[in-house]
Amino acid sequence: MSAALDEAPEFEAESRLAQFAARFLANRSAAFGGLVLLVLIVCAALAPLIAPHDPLAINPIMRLRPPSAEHWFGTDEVGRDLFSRIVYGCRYFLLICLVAAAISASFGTLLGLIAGAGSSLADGLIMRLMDVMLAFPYILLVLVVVAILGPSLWTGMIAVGVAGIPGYARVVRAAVLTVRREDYVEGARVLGASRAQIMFGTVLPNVLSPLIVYLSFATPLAALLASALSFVGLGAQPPAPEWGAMLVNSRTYLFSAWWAVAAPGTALFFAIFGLNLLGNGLRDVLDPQS
Amino acid sequence: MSPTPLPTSQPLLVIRGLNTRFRSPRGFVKAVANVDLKVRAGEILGVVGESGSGKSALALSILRLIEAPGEIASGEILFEGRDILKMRSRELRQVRGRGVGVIFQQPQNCLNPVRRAGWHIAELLVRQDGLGRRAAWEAARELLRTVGLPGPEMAMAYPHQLSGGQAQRVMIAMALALRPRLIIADEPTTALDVTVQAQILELLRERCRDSGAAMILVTHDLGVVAQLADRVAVMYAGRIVEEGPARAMLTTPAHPYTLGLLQAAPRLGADAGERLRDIPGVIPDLSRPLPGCPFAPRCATRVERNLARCLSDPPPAIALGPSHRANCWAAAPMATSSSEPVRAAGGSR
Amino acid sequence: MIPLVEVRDLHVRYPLRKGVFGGVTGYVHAVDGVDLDIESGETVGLVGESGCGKSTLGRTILALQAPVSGRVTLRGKDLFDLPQNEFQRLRRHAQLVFQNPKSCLDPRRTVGSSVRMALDIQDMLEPSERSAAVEAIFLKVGLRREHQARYPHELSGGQLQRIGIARALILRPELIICDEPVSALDVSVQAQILNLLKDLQTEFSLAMLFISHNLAVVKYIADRVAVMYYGRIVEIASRRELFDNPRHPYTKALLAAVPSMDLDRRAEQPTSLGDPPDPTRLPTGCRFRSRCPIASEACAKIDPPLTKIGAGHEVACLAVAPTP
Repeated sequence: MSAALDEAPEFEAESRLAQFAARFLANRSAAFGGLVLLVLIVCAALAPLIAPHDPLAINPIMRLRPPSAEHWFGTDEVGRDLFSRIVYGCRYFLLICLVAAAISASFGTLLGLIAGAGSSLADGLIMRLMDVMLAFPYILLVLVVVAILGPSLWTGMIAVGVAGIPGYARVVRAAVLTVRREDYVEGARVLGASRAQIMFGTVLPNVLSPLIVYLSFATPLAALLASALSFVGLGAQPPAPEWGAMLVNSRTYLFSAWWAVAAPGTALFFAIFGLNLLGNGLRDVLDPQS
Repeated sequence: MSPTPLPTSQPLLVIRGLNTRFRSPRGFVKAVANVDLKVRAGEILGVVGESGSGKSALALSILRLIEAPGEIASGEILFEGRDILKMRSRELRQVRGRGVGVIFQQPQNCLNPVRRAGWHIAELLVRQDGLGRRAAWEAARELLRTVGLPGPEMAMAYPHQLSGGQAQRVMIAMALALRPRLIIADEPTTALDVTVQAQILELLRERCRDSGAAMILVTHDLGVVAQLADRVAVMYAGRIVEEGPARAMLTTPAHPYTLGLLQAAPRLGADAGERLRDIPGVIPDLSRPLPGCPFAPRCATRVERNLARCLSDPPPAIALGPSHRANCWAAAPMATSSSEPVRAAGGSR
Repeated sequence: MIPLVEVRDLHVRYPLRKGVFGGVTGYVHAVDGVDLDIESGETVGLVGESGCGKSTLGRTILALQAPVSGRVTLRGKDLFDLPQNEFQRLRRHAQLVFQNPKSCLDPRRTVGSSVRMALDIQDMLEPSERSAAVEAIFLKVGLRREHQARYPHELSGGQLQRIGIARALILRPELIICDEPVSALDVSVQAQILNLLKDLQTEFSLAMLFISHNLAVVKYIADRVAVMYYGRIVEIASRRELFDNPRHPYTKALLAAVPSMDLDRRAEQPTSLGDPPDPTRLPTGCRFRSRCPIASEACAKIDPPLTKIGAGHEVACLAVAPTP
């Protein structure tokens, strides 16, 4: 082949990370959601620096003051600075997300992998177990856990984590079943790969994408559930500045001191909205049809 | 609204300066670049090209079936004297189906899975021709009979009960239902087995002859074109590089790409031991068109004859005969005079 | 010398599940009694239309699918009667080139990594030598070393198919099965890949089973050709014999149906074959008789076996080779 008959100009080489970063930033949902997450992380990490007051400092004289220069979000029913409590509340929110997601994702993924990759007997057993868990009224499940372990933030998170397992199991199982049928898995088989090599070297990396997307949707939902638990007194206990607990304590003041309800409610709203958007955006960005 | 009958010398379809492009993160991809084309009444035009040639984009553009992120950037598409690109929706709807019928590659994707075969045709007749239900179904059954699907069972079948060939016959019946003057067939037999393909091609040829409809047949298969087409247009990188009567194009092609295609396709009639001459290189990046002829980087003729201007100046259309033209600086008819297309060993360069 | 691959009376079937509980209601006999030998270094072309079982046959020879009865031996060893580790090692001698070059590569790995994976799985060569081997095979199939770092979605169909071939060859197999390797490619790229396969086969002394529905492509590349129809081989002969002197009515119909580039043959009409039968309800006797222009009464009663009618030429047709 003469030198004159060259191939057409090549793509510029870009690292996979750079490609991902570029697409992530270009996607509005992902970028906004990422920003919200960043704000939450910063607030949680630097809470002592950001919060002007001690979130637990009671000051009955200043109870239920409206927002002012001294207290940006006002004060609650025992005089604590709401802004500081919201900032510290980021820690609780992120902790809940992490713990609940960790429990749900790890057990759910494991079960989903076994169900999708194993024998039809294993598949049947695991999926029926998941069905049973889903059929259980959620509140009953939570009450059982809490009754055994006693009400606290941790038992609340564990309960939410356990309740989230079937969702992950289903997603991972479906992903495994899809990926197993792909030609490149057969390609690995032809090369003589063992089942374990195929599962962990080829199937699992390709299952991560849908898993990550599901994670970003399921986590805010879990956070919402945990906050709902606090609302019924089964989660974080006072005086912890957890947003759900704050909502409970302030609800009687809805019409007299609306800021005490608005602050935690709005914080919850934005955090969950942001994470949902992040999930939406990630789904588009991680689409392999790129 | 019935069109005024054209004087027979006027072509049925005239495309001038058509540009269709697609938005992509890297800029515009020019899928159809400055295409001129004419189709006469009753004639079968084969549009040949590989992937990225723009042949499907061209076919879809004719009926304004291009959707975002694609758009028709400029040009004229005159069907029976009226510019399709300037039509309002009502007039366009009349043209689609009634003036121009379309057959796509994957028939199963175009049929409504919860409706019977006959319904697809009857529906068209009710909507566009204003027939009553019963009359429409009778006409539908008759149409299905003419395309080789006789009997009430065929009309009552659901798409999933039909084979690929049968589904394509239903598509053809749909395309013909409103008696169009032009049929656009986009790779109609590519997804079919070769024995079924032969039957479908025969059916298409027959139906066109009987109804007097013209056809634009888009395909990558030169054999299909040899069997059916009166005229052939070869596309590369969005442009028409050569156009002319089928016989001339297949026996004495002028453009090196046409020649390359003919030499690269394995043929039953070829001798064993003759090596296929492949075309080295890859299709150019359509979002970054280079100056000059798009085929120049891969063109063996350019190298042999040392033609530098191919890389810098886009070649004009060089007339090679009354209705044969090639966009090539080196244009002069190449090779044999037999009825067999050019072989690698014989032939010119 | 025994053939590299011996297939004896192979039967492979798929269950059909219908109904609410997915019970098995019948079977599609994708491969319905096939005998085939492949000698070292030869290319056997396997042609047929969709549903004839050619892909299934190829995949069963690679043990990607288990037969319900029959035998496949590779290098003298019965593939379905081996201990697991010996079987995995045997895989190195027979590899596959896929039809769809994009989907056969892991989208999350660079193509270089996908090719290297072959060596890692089979534990061939010292780990330090493997990178060099991958680079060498990339060059051999006509790519450049920079291509190794790309991902599948960044490459063209032709380039991906070259990588598929590279991955198949890096293990230095004796047999490669090509399942419609050029069907998804453009004509100009197709020619490049076919020429590449031809050259590599000569260089590496490979045996090849080339599966395709495109007769012209098979004519270009095969030494011997077998024609399949709904699970059976109906004719098998040397390339020259099959294309110059086809005997089975189905082979003749197939050849006649290929659109010819000879313009003087435009007026000829292909023999109308009628619609293909339902694969779960094939005709009794000869399965082709419902579409055969020369079917007789005997064809409904007797299922003709593959019978030798000349040197290396076998046909399963009562009209051509009446059973004694």
